[in-house]
Amino acid sequence: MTTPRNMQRLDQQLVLPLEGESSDRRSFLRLMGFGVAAGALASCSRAPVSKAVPWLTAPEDITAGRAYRMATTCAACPTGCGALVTCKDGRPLKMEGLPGHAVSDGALCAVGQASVLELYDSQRIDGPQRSDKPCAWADADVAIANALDTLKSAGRVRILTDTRTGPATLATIQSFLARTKDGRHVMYDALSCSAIAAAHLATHGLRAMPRIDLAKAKVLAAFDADFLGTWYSPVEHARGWAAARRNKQPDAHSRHWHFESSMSVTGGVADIRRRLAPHELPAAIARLAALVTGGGGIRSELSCEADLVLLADELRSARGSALVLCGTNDVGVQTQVNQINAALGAYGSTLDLGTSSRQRRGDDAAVLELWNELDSGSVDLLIVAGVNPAFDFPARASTLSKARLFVSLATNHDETSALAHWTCPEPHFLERWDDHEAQDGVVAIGQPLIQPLMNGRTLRLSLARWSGDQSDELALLKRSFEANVFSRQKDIGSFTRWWRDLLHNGFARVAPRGGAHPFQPNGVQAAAARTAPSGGEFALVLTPKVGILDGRHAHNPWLQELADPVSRLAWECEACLSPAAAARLGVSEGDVVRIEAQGMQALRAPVHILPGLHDQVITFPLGYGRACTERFAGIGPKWWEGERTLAQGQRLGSNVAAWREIAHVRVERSGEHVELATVQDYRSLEVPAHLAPAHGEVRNHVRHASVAALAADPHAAHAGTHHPAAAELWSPDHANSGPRFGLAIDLSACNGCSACVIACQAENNVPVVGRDEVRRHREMAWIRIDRYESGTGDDVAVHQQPMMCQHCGHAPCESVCPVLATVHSADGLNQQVYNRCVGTRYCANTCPYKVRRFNWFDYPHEDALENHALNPDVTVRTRGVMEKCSMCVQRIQEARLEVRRLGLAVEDGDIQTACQQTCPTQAIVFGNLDDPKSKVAMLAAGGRSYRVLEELNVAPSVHYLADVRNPRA
Amino acid sequence: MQRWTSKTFLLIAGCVACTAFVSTVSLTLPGNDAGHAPEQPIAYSHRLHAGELGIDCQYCHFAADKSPVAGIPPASLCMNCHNTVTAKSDVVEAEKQLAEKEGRLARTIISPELKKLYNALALDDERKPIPGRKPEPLRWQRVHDLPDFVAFDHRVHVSRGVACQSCHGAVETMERVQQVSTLSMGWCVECHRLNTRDGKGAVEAGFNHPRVEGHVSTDCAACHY
Repeated sequence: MTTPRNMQRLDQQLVLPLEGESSDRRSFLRLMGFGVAAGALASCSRAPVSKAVPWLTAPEDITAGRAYRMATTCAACPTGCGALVTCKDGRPLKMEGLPGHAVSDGALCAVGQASVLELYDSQRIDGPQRSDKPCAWADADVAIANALDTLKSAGRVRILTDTRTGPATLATIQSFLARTKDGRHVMYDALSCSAIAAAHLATHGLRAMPRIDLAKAKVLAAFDADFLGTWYSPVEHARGWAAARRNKQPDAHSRHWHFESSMSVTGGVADIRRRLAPHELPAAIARLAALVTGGGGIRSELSCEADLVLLADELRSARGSALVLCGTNDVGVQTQVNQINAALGAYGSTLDLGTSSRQRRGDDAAVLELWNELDSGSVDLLIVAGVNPAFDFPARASTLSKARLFVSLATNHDETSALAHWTCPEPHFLERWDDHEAQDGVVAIGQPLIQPLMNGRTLRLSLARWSGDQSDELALLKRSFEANVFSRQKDIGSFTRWWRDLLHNGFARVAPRGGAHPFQPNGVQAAAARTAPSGGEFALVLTPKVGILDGRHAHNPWLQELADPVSRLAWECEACLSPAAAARLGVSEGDVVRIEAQGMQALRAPVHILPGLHDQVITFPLGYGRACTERFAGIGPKWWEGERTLAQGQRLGSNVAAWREIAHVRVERSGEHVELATVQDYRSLEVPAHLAPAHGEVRNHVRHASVAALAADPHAAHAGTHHPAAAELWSPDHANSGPRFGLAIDLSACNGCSACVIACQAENNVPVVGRDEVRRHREMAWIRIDRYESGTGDDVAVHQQPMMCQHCGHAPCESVCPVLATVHSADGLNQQVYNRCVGTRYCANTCPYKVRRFNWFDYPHEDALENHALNPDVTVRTRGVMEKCSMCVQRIQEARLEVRRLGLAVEDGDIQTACQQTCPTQAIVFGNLDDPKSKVAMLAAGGRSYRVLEELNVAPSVHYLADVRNPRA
Repeated sequence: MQRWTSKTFLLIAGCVACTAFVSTVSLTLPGNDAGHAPEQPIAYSHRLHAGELGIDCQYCHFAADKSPVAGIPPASLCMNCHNTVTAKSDVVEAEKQLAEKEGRLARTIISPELKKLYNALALDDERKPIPGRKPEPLRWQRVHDLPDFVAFDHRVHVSRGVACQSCHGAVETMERVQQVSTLSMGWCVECHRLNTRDGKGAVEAGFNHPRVEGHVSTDCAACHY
């Protein structure tokens, strides 16, 4: 109902409100009508004129309107995945893995996909600051150079960074520190792998992590190592893991054992999963070591004793293609893991210490020493880059201020930069030069893909300036590479040519520094003792989430809205309990519990019930409670029933980093309750008895079979499912000569990493809706990873099923749209025409898969800088319009039009949907179902292939390949 | 009419107001921009360049067959010729003869429109960069523009043999570029429909381009995604 104020707005250009009219209701309405009509007519004018502003001097290689791709290296975490970034109109828009790269080989994880949004973050630090006031670079440089002058002869300089691997960066740091009396470079990773490197120093004489080749592992045992999700290098490991399982023959398929104290994506997709209490881990490893090396030993009291005996047998039988991984941060345990691997012949087959991984180089002992130095007030200059120690060590945060001069190089305001004397921000990795050596012998470049949007300076350049070197960034990099790296290869004689190739390809192989490092048994140490929780106490396990990790990307709305593949919650900091533990405590889903321990301020969190979790364990996610989450107070649409995601000044969740040393906690109900923002309520594959029909049907939309059963019968996964013959809706005279696009999704390869979800969001301008809208099941993700748990006992097997628009041949949605906004294309796509949609929502009502997303609001796009991240090839939908997976029709169009102009034909593999492109395990395949030689057609015709809800006869174009596990017979 | 009531008066006044209002704002239905011929920052004449001089459309609009957008050429392309050509040849010739008669060097004549080009590029009359002056890109007024919900791709049309004139009219005769087609969806779909089956229909219907073979999509998602 328009108010008089509204009416003025409508009329302001054209018609003055009529005066002198009587103010009765009829006259008022008449006035209203005229005003609205005038306003309506006013909008019926010529379309607003837009300008075309071409370049003055066009760059040679870039054609306006065409995307171009540049190779760089993702630096969203220190893993160093090679990336190929699609740029349009001079701005990087879509991160993709670099094909052929040693680490990523064409794929990228969810965090890497989301990192492009952080480039366009208007809340980044724009220029240097003195405390919290902007200043000039000269001010900061003079102050720091002066401090350095006095430090040449005496005083301590410490540079604290995350894992940095680049040869030029490390050389610059070293030459900077060499000019000081007592300078040291300390690295740490919040998700630490320090114990692995320290253990190898003890057992192999080299402080390094071996490169893991999972593709070679026939028998793999992982202990608390979420190598597909939150451990280091998930893309590389996922690719290897999937490769070892691609061949479904019993003698070729790997067996993946998983022992964990939490519930991770990796554990869910393992062949055999066992719950392990945290205090049992050292004993389990010790037992396994005794079994593998000696073949005997004293029987343990562990709950998994029998499994360990069987596992040891299998590992020994697979000697030379066996592997044991462990993610604990206990050096003693890791040395024993090394012992097991050495006995299994893993070094040289599945593990390679000669070309070691440099993806986590943090040294926990060095960090501890640094804290002590800071505490004693003996640090004169502290430079912090790439890490947030005030957040990762909250109890010690105040110690940072004890440094005489504290300089932070944070890109965004964070807990650490708030304490710094000077902030000299680093640019985002997409707008800066960088160098990496993620694996020994694989050097890579990060190159800027856009003129810096904010006024920043890399660590390298800042150190150079403070050393009096006025060279520009590129000159520094080239000089260092020519001096130190170029000589490590002999194939190319000209540095200019080698450098140009490096820039073009994104990475280059040079001689590793490697060397032989045999195992020394006397390096094996005992593990630190752990005790079981007593009384009603719980063991506290701090788990990172796939999207949040250690919290470094907590300010990224895409990652906060990502429905966690384990808990299926978004925007929540949930504590997880097993069903039995929850029953014991008397809590149900969403009840808030209080977590207490001696000397700690109590934590409060809502409970999520997680089947498969150990009954004595309570998990809590890392990376929450960050100050940067205060920006989400107003996120999402504002309407009168809507609740804010956060109150003003409130942070999302609690920071649990201070609880790293706390093993056992008391958990109590607090009496409060929270409606959790979940995207999936029901996750079991079993139909409850009271609902099951007489013959006890199991929901068969997620099918699975064992390797053994498949070997006997290729259609074993479909046993027990019987559907009547499907009636064909269209008469056969409607011949289709063109392609019929479809997808094949391999459930045995999908582990729930959710890279596809973020890739789709980045590619298709999917909006962020905020916590309250997610709670109302109005999340906008076009693809979701449904989580299904099979087995009702203590140990559940998890199946992850990516679900998107199935592009049905007999689409129910197409029949019900009153305006034909959704129709079928000649190439098999179910199209959604946004400009025709009037928002009836009948289509979403009819969709059996519930994959249609409705724009209930005009989701805010007020941040002009953030809007630069939008893909110009995809419409940004307005309120009242239905949207859904389009099978990346913009990519299909681009490929078809381009080959048409070139006079060629589209080949299988030319078109890749965003979800397919980024998947580390290549679980999703797109192609022409009508081409019998295409990969998708061959997969769809295979024995494992089925379609979800086939019995409805909607003829989906998306085929799923049944999940395959390899348990013991 | 027995008597003029205030109601009748209001009704007539309303009709007159509406008519006057609509006629000032727009005489065509929404979305029909045919006839649009905006003034441009430089009065560039297609009649002179494309018509009289015979320069090919795709010499300047070089991206038309490679990119979804045909694009307006960068100023650097204009300078390919206008680095040396500063004014109409007859004007230059006249000055040359006058200079010869007066026994002096011929002055460089810069036509006023070309002066605007050199100003944009921050070049002086001798076409050398002026130190300290920043070049300012030219802001052309778009003549042919489609709504944001339409994804039109030039390259496929150009590379499949659709002549520029069939959609843009006889541009080589236009002093100032004018939109001659309605560019409405119906107008586009008509040509697409005629070409979907056998390609003959397009020529017969008077579209000025050779027969386009193959399937031309009439799927919604061909243009709306």
